[in-house]
Amino acid sequence: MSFVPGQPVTAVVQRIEIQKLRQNDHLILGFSIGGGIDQDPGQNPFSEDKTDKGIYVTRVSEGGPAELAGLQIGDKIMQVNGWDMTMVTHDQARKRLTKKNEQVVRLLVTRKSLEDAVRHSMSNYPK
Amino acid sequence: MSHGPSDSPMGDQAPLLLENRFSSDLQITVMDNHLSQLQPSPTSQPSTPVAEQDIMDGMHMRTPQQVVLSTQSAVALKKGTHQLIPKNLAVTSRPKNRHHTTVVTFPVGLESSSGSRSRHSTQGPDVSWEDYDSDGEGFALRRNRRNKSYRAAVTSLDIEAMARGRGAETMLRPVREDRAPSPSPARSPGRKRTLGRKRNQRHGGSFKDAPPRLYQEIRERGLHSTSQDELLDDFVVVEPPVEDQGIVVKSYRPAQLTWSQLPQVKDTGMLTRISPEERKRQEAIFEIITSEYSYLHSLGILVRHFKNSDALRRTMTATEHHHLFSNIAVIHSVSQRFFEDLERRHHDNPVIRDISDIVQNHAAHHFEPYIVYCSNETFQQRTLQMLLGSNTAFKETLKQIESSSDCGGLPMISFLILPMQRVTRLPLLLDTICQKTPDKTAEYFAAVWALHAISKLVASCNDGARRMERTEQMYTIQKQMEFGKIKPFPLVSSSRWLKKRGELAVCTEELSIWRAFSHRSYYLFLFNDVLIVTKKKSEESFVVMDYATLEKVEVEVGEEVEGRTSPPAKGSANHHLSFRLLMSRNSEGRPEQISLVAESRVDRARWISALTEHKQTSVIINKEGLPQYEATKAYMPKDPDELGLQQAELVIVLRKEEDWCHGERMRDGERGWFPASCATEITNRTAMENNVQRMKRLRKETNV
Repeated sequence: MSFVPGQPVTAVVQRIEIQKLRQNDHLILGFSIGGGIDQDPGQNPFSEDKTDKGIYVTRVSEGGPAELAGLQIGDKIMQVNGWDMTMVTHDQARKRLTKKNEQVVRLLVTRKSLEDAVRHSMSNYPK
Repeated sequence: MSHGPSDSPMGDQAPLLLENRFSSDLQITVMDNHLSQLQPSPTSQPSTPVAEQDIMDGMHMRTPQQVVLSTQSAVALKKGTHQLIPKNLAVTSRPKNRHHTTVVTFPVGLESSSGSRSRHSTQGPDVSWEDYDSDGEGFALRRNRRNKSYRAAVTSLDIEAMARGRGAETMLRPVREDRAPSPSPARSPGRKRTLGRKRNQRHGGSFKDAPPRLYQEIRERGLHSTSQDELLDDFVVVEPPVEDQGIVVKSYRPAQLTWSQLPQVKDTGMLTRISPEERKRQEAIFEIITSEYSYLHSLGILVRHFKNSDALRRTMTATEHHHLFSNIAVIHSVSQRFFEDLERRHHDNPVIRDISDIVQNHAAHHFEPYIVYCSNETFQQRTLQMLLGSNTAFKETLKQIESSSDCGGLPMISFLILPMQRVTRLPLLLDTICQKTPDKTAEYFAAVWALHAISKLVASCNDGARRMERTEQMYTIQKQMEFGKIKPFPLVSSSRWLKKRGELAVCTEELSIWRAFSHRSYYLFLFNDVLIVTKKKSEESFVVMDYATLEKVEVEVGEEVEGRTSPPAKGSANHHLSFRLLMSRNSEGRPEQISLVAESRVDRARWISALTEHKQTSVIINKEGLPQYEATKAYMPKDPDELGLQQAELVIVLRKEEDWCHGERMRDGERGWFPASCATEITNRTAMENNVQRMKRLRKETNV
């Protein structure tokens, strides 16, 4: 993911589709988020760039829907169901993820290993 | 608890000091007197509450076994005519197991007769060191206190006062009651002149009544997330002596350790009207105020005695002086304004509604000098080291100033790091307030905002400091490197910093022939994105042998290597200490490999973790399961890959290798190595839980 101020963000992303699970009377996804434009980015242990105010996955519950779908801790969430998550407050992010009438959330996430994998495969290519 | 009055005027006669030592006599007399007097009024039993305090082991007095709470005792209610004095008090030197300090009151006549005896000098140092519970700084007198960790910025006796009083009293007439106007209703009207007390003329004795302790020595209770319910110390009530005993008595004035003991709070019966949660919140708020006062006091000492000292200034150049002290005077005035605002709020109403707005305002608008000061930290440290090492005049003058009583015998360095300490503690203290504020109220949001503001400030301070340090480091290293025949590599960059450097021996048996003779050891510089292998020519100059970007570097641990070029030597190859660096693309564009031997397991572990850190994409998932350590003493990092620790700082330990630990600082997530001797494990599960919770709070996280 390269962040050049003033330019659109580019990243290698993975699509993850999570089916919400009903637990008592909540629908849960099974992970926790941190970050947001109203939060302190310096405290984020997962971000490469410590000024990144995006939404990051800080915990993934064992055996939960998110883990099953392939979400990993440290992932940065770029979009949720088409809505952008790179410039939202923490609360807005929470709201987008916990809509009661949605059964499924489709996320676009990015992580460093994706980027590395692509670069690695690209560098092998010329040979 | 207040101490009650003593209606009996203190005797004017100058008792012999020696008499005091025969305290048994004294006691009996006293007791008899008391007994006879007290029989009619069985409620005045200072002994019982006193005994509760576990301070007075000299108490023999037993009056009717009615359990009287110290707040209900005649002493507190100001009844009764005589009071008991435990034997321990009736001596010249302080008993070692007091809870809190007192004002030493005694008739002046005593003083003049003894010619201001060494009692002052013995007491002075005795008292002060006893009170300061500085862990391991040299004055570690462990005291039997209930609430050990929290001492407010007040002790009633201080050395300065003593020192001042010493000179003055020989000339003064003995005791006048009206000499000591007592603003606090809790004071005994019959109280004798108290030496050198700064009288706070404002209504209701304030916590500022006595000069505060040095900030280095207090440890705010709010720093501990594990502090259990704040039990109020029951204060001992002991009164000035019976009239004919001109003995030295320590009368206890309750040191106002916590908000709940403030006279204006107790007297108005506030405690009964507010909820326990609110009381804790008030305590937390009060703690910020008192600790700021103590901090201000210590800063004042730094400015007055060190910065403004002409003698010290003469021993160094103007630049050095500037590097050493930077803008500490500005910080002092900033802190002063902050404290004044806080104090004004406190005086308007002892039950403070909120201080978050003050904190936010100051953190957002007035605390910038902190960033400047913190950024200057590397210069400061370096200048100080250099001066101490090479400038004897400076060292002598400094030692002289440090040994003066005002500084409490603490070295100047401890004063210089005060702003850094304070600014990093403020978020934790504020977090405590947030915790105790009921959710969803206006105060809660205000507190959260204030917390954010101060956290942002701390982050800027850290950034500033780090940036300065790194830039300078890069320039220095750049100058020391010679590229020789290797293609030069542009080293200085704003996004590059040194992660680790050190010497590693070359594994001789593995190398191809043409290398084995010329090199024995390499000196490695590991930056965040590139590794430079050099040969050390001298302390300040290195010849670059090779380099590679970190993505092209792989590390192989020694044991797994199955002798690629030559069979592993028997015995001499310390396989458990060796590892290989495989560069797939070095400075000349071809693959290269180097076998290195570290000096110890720890060393090798450190190198390997440093070299592979950039590859770690998986962060430790379950921080809750990892051991938490608390730093028992501060640790200054000597190498770039080490972690600096402040006293009482919390770390999560990821790895332990011999006597070093690799951990993550809870405060900000920084990782590094530190010696295991500096920290102890926290075994209390609740404490660990709380710490994890607090860490999460300071980084907000929501479950979805």
